[in-house]
Amino acid sequence: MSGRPPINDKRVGERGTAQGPGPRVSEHAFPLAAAALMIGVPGMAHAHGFGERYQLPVPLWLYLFGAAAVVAVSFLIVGLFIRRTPPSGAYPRVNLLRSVVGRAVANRVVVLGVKSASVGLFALVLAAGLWGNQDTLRNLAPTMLWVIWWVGLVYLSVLIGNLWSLINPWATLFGWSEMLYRWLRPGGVLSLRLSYPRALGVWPAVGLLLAFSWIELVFPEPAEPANVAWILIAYSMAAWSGMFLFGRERWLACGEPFSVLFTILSRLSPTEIRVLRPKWCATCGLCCRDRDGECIDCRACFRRAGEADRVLALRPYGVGLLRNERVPVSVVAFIVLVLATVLFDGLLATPAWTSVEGFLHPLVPASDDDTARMAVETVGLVLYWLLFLGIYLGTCRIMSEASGRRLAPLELAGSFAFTLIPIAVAYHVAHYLSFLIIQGQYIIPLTSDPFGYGWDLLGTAGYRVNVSIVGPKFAWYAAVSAIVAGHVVAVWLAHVKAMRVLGDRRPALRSQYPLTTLMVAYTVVSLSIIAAPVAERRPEAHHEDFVEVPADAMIPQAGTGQLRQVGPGKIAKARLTYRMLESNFHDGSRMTVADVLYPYVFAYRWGASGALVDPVYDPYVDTATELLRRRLIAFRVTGVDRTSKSIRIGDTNLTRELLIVEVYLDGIPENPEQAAAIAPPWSTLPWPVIVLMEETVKRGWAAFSREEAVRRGIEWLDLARSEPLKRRLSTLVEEFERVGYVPDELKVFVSVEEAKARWAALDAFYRKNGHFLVTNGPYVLSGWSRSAAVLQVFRDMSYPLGIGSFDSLPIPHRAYITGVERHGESLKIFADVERVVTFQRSYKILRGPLQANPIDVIRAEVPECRYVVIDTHGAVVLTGAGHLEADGTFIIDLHGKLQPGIYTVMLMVYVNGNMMNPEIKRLSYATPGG
Amino acid sequence: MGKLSVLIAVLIGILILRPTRAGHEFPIYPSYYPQEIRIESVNPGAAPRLLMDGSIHAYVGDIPEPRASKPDSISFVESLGSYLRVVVNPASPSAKAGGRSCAIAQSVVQALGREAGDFVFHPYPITPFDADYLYHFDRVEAAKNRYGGGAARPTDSAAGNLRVRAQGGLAERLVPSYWQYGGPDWDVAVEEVDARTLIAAHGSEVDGWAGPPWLKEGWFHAYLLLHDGLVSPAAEQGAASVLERLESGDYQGPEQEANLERQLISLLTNECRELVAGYSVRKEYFNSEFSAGIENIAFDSQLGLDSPIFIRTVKLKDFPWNGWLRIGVEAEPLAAWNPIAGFTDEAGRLIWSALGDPALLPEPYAASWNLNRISDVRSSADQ
Repeated sequence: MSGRPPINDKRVGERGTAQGPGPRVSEHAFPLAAAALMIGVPGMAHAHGFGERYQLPVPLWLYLFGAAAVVAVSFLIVGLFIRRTPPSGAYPRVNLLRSVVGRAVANRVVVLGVKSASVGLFALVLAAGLWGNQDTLRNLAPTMLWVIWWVGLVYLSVLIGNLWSLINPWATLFGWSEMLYRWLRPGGVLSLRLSYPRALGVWPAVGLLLAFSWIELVFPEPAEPANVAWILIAYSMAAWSGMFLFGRERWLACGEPFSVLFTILSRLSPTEIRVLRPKWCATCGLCCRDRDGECIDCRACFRRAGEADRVLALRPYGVGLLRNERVPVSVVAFIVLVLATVLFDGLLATPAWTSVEGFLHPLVPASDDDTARMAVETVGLVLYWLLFLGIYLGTCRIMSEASGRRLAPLELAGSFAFTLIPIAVAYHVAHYLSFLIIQGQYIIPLTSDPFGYGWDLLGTAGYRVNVSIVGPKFAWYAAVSAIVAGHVVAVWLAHVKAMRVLGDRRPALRSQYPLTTLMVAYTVVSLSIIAAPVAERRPEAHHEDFVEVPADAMIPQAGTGQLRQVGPGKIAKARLTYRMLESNFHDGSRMTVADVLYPYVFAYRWGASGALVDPVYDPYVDTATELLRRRLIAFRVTGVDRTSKSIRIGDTNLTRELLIVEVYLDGIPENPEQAAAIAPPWSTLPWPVIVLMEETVKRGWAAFSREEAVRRGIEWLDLARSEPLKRRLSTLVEEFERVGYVPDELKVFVSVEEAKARWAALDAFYRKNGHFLVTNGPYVLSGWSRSAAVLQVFRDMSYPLGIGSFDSLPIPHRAYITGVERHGESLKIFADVERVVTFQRSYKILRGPLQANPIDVIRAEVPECRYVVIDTHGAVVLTGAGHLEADGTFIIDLHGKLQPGIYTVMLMVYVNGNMMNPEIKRLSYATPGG
Repeated sequence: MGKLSVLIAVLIGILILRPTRAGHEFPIYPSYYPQEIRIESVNPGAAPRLLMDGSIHAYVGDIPEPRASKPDSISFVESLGSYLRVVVNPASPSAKAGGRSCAIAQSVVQALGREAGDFVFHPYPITPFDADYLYHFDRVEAAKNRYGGGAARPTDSAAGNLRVRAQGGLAERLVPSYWQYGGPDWDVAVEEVDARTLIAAHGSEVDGWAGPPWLKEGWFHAYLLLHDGLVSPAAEQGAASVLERLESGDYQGPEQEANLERQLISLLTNECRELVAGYSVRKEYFNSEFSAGIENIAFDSQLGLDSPIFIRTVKLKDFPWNGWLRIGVEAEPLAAWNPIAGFTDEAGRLIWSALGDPALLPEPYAASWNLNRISDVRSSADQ
């Protein structure tokens, strides 16, 4: 039942109220794009919600304790106040078939219409998967399978009833085949009708659900549209084979995991179908009558029964879980599997699992990382289920003992198995509700363009998903509420069940102690797991010197540049959180997250192939971006800061945005600025210019680098001085503007309308300036000749730097060591420094003792003293900085820092960061007793 | 006119005459000082005259020293010019004979050991223009002492007959004439390696990125200069391994970092196939006359004026902001103007310095970086 729809979320957000000549990101665009980034992309987040986290107002343990307490207290209340229970079948019912509406819904024509629509949709999904656009978010198949059906149908089954039995396309198609076969061969049966071993129970369904869960949770690319189609085809073969071998009804009841699943879930729902007279059950062969002699939710009997014996009833929620029946072990295993897979999905996103996987990974003899990961997760999935099953069966054994062995442990396990269903549903809500609300919206544009061909059949293709409709706070409180409510309901159901099966209140209560303990434990464990990706706890978990990479962080695919989520279990040596100063480009368009991230896509697309024959490769880009690609593990957009750099001047507000991006790296230098230079999330070009250049190179009009231009015999790409090329580019820009072209990787950030505006801005810039060299830099190219270039200043108020930004750097000046005194194990350094004295518009550099100046003047020059100590073997044993004293001298304290011996100390003093051409002092130093 | 009328008149006058502040004045000027920059190709021979008569404000590149009529009207900035590299030809019979590479190379270095004009004898690949110079200072001193502070004649007996190929103006000037040889079967080459070209060729400026982070580190330059001369696989692997550790920060503290740097230099120079004899200092001139000249500029210790920081700090005396800046460069801008793999020549780099805006700028007088379009960056190690 776990839903892990790994959808490539590439379309998002209301975009752009225009501001100035270019489009402007709307206030909501960034969070939308960021959230889309986080929830999208193949290998979708296990958190199924938000890259953003919710900071808990109180520590997590308080939530866990509170939730556990609520479950425990609810047991006390139930135990105290529910002293008697009615018989299992005695609950109020309303036969809907007696109402006009009910009869209309059950009308054969309506049913046929629904079934036909279901089959049509099934065919459409298959076709879209096989022949549609393979972008996961532009294709109906992934969203329909993993979001609408696999997640959404769970809610419908619980809230309404067993709709799956009506819309199951495999059952319908096989049923129609049977009819056709009977029409062709009257009296014939399209099945071998093999005897289904009773001992087999629903084990085939268990196996198939486990396989399906494996595809969902472990298989690397379950949301690729083609993969979706092949999964459906493979499953169809399996389902129809089962129906052919054992008969349709038998297979649907025992082997078809989704029929088994949705039938079980719908026991919680307020509707049921029932057949009144037992004679109909004699031929269905499914032993559908329970111990009370009632035939409920048996579709085979319902189909056969006469109209007078059919009941479509409205009933209280949850009573379907309390039927008096024998429940085979295989059904227990199935229910526990449902429970375990949801939590396993959550577990994959936790630090604990990352640790386990990190530990096991090297032990797996696999050819590559992916295989090793899959091996570990496969074993983990199975063991997790078996662990849950073992704990549940163990608890039932204790229950049996506690209740005086009135019932055997296995019988108790069967009796109470259905009381776990509210917990499973609660886990589902906790884990996937936010995801369904956000991701489910994609079905709206996809209904107009199911193949991703750019159609707009129903006029909804332009719908923009509102990803901020719910946030991490909602996700967290929805999770807490659902889990607590699910367990409380389970406690109540279990108590009622215990009263019925054990017949007496006292043993019933005793039997519930272990089960309630288990439910309290489930509550704590499940909340902890759910909390990992949603709620922020401090301090964050660290693996020694490593940091965890969020599963929803992204990395471009080598060769294509396609953005993919890294998935769980990735670690990096460092995380750098950048706050980038955005501004307008020269064409008036405003920087967006798409501009900042597209260079990553570019680097992986054009630098990773290594094959010169590849038209999307340039060795220059390969070399220039090699370090970036080697070190970059992932990146993640986490927010936008609109306040800290915004200023008010007179009556004008200058809003400056800082794009906040986390970059995860595999190794960085110690110097923080050098570390920041490895892979900064930055572009000085607007994405349309990069795209324009890419298209130019792809079409063979020009090459990025001189070497490639020579090798391919084409011109070296020049955005300003090649008239023939500019004419071609101009035509291309017009074409892109007309269609609102957006590269696939940016569709998550850029709407067609916004793209049109960006291309229009570029076109307008070209028409005005005669070139395509648009940047966000301080100068604009305004003219050129063969031997000269003229640049005009770009005094745009959005530009965040300006006159004076680097005024500390002109006129570098120096410092000189004038004396060194030894005081015990300290060295006292005297220095002269140069100071710049300006007059009118000239300056002089004056040298004088550092000591001659007041301390505030001294500090303004930022004087520093560095030293290196070398032993007699020529090894550096100590380095450091001297301490600036109030009297303008430096003290180097060597006490306790050196072993006894004789050393060479090298000293330099410099001011204002000028380490160029320093005067270095060298002296001998012997430690006391050295 | 009554007192009230006078008072009203005065108040009205005050209201009229007081400075009007409608709130539309911006006391900030986005972007940098000059309102226009013209970068043009100028013959180096003509550049001093153009500088002196104010036709250009600054010249990026080497030119003859301008003889200004007025003191202080022409100023200059100094940065690392070029390295003088000594390369032993492995195919040379002299080098093959009994593993004499080191003796030959050291003899040539010793012969170059005199300071002449802008050349500084410095038989060590890390120079005072590198921020990690302090880590190597004792070794620099030791190397200088080893060569006796420079001697005009080789000490090795076989060195007297060497055929030395001199490449570049500096090398041609410094290699003794009795050694100079233009044929293909040379024993030793003395090459002038332009520092700016060497560094720029390894800087990644794709779309305004900076990298590599150690672009200005002395040990990185030493590796670029000398790693082609590594012969034995052990030395090659050893140097690659140390380089990787330095690049990935795989060391504990600055002491280990310093020792790794020193180890790298040892590995690069032990086999003596390639050595550094010294470096030259580049002087780049600018007009500093009042009032038509430049008030002040920043430059880069290794790239000189051909650097982004020059464009971002240069300030004209006439117009502290606004004004028309004219810069001369030697060659015409021949490299294509595309921000991915273009702007690769001197003029192109300067133009791109003004057009593009990288996330970080090289720290001008050290080896780190200044944040440019990054407001701030936090590392997980600091949190």
